[in-house]
Amino acid sequence: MVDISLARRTAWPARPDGLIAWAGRHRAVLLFSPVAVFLLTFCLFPVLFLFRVSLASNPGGTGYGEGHAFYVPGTWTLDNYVRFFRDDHFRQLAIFTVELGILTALATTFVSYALAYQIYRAGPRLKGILLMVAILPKFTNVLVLMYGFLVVFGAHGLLNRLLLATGAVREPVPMVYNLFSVVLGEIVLILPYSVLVIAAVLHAIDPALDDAARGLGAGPVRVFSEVTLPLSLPGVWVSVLLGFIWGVGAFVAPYLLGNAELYTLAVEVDRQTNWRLNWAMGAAIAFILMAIIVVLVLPFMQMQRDKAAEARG
Amino acid sequence: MTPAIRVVDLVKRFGGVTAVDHVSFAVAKGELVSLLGPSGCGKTTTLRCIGGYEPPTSGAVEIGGRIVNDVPVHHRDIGMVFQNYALFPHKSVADNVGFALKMRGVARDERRRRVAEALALVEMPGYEARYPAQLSGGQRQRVALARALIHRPSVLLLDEPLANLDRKLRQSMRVELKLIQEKVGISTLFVTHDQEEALVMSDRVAVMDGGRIHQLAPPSDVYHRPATPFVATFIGETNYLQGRVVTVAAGVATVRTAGDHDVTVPAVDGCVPGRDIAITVRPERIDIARRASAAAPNRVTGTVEFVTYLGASASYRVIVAGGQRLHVTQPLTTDRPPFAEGDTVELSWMPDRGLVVV
Repeated sequence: MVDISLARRTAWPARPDGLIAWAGRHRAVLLFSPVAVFLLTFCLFPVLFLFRVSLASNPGGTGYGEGHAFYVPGTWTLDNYVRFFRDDHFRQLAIFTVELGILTALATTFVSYALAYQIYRAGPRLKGILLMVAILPKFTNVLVLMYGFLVVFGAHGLLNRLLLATGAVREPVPMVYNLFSVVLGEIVLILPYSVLVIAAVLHAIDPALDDAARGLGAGPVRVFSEVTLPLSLPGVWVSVLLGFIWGVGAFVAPYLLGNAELYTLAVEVDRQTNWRLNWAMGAAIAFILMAIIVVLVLPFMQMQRDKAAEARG
Repeated sequence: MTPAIRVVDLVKRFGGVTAVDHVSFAVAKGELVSLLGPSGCGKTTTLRCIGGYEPPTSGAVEIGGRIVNDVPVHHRDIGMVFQNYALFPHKSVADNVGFALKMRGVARDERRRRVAEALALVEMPGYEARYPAQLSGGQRQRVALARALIHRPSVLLLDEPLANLDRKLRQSMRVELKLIQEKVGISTLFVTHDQEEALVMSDRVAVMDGGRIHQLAPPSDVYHRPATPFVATFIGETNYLQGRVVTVAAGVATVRTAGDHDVTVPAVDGCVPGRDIAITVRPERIDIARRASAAAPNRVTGTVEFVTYLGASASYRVIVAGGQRLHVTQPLTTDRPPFAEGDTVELSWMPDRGLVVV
C-alpha cells in the first residue's frame, strides 16, 4: 500500500506540479481574468476614449469637408459641458429624461408586481403559463416588438379599427407617438426582468408566515399589506432601480413610438453623433447621462444597504 | 360542558390519498390533547382542518360548540404555533406579539400593555425592540407562544412546536410549555411525532396512524394498556413473545411459548385454544434474577447475550429457550450491572403486564 502511493506521487513530473500549485495560489486572479480582459477591452477602454472625445472641441458645421470630421483631435476644452448647461434645449431634455425614468420605474414596477403576484398565487400549471407570458417579449427582436405596437395601437391599428367598427369612437384614438406608447414600450422591454425579480422574492417568502398572519386574524388584504408586501419590498426596489436606469437611458421606445417632444438624452446622443456628426457633443451628453444615473442611483442603493444592515441587527 | 374542540367524523382527501380517515374526538376546556404519530399519519392535516387551513372533505369541526367548517381562518378563535415559529422577520418582537391585537383594532397603548404582559408570561420581558433574527431558537419559541396567546383565543393549536429545538432545550421547554398552558388554562391541541413529548405534556394522547386514531387515552393508559399492536410498538419499546394458546379460563389465557414455557396473560377476543399469538411485555416490566423465586409467575429461563450499560440503568438482551430474544431493562443501584454476558438468568413478569396481540 505504502509503496503504491509513493510510486504515484513520484510519477508526477515536477514542473506541472509547480504550475498547478501556482494556479492554486492565484485562483481568484485566474478566474477573474477573462471577465477583466473583456471589461477592459469593450467597456473601460471605449468609455475612457469617449471621455477624451467629450473634452475635445467640436468640429463645427456638418463635420464633413471643413477640416475635421466628428471632433478636433488634440484639443482640450469644457465647452461641450458648458454648452449643455447653458442651453435650454438640453436642460429641458435632461429634465424630461429624468421624469421619464421615474414614470417608467413606477409604471413598470406596478405592472410587474401585479403580474408577479399572480404568478406567486397561481397553481403550478397556470404559473408556468404566466411565467411564459412574462418572458415572451424577450423571444423577439426589439424592433419587431416596437413596430408591433404600431400594428396594434396605430391610427389604423387593430384596436382603433375595432373601436371604430363598434362605434365606440368616431375618430381614431391617438395611442402612439405619445407618452402613453413610449412608457408602454419601455414597460414591455423591462417587464421580463422585473417580473422575474419580484416573483423570485415573493416565492422566497415562507408560506407559514401567511398562515400565521391569517391565524392571528388577518384577512386577505391585511395579509398582503402586513406580510407579503413588506417582505417583497427588496424585489420592488430592484424593479424600481431597473425601471429607472432603463427609463433614463430610454432610446428605442421614444425614438420609434414617441415624437420630437418625447426625445430623451439617449436620442440626443444619437442625433449629435450620427446626424450632426458632432462626436464631442454626443460624448459629453453621454457622460452627463451617466452622471445623472450615478448621482440618483447611488444614494438609493446606499439606503437599501443601510436598511438591509438594520434588518440583520 | 361543551368541549372546546370537537371533531366529528372528519375526512380529508388529497386527490386519491386519504390523509384523515373518519376521525372523531373532543378536547375538553382547559385540556391538553396531543395528536401523536409518525409522519404522514394525518395529525398535521387534522390540526390544519381545525385551524381552517384545509377545508375538510367531509365531517364537522366545532370550536366552542359552534360548527366552523365555513368560517375562514381569520375569523376562527384560535392561536397557532408553527414548527418553524413563523415569526414575521420584518417586525419587532412587540409587533409580532401584538399582531393579533392590531388586527382586532386594539388601541396602541392597550396593545403595548398587553404585549408586555404576554412577554412576561413567557419570561421574556423587555425584548420588545428586538427582531426575530436576533433571538435564539428557544426565545423565538417563547415569542411565538406569546403571539399565539395574546388575543386570548379559546383554543391553542401547536404544530410540532419543539421539533426545531436541541434536545436539552426541548426537554425544559416541554415542562414550561405545559406550565404556561395550565396557568392560562387554555384548551390545547398539540401535534407531535415525539412520544416522550406527548407522554410528558398531555392530559390525553391520541395515537394516530394511517389517518385514523388508534387510541385516545391518558398517557399511562396509552403506555401500559395499548389498544392496538401499533400503539404498543409506536409508544416505547416492547418485546414480542410468540406462542400458542393452550387454555382460556376466567379471563386468563395460558400460552405455551416456543421454548415450552407456560405463561399466563389476560385473555382478549380471539384468544382461543390452539391459536398462534404474540404477547407483548415492556422491557422494564420484566424482572431479571439468577433464580426467580418459586412464587414468581411467568418464569422463563435464558442466557444473557448482550449488556448495554446506560448509567442509571442497564439493558439486557436475553435469549430464552426456543431461541426468542427478550429485552429487559433494570434500574441500577450498583456501579456495575449485576449480570454479564453468558450468565444464565430467569425472567419473570406479572401476568397482567403482558398483552396479547392476535
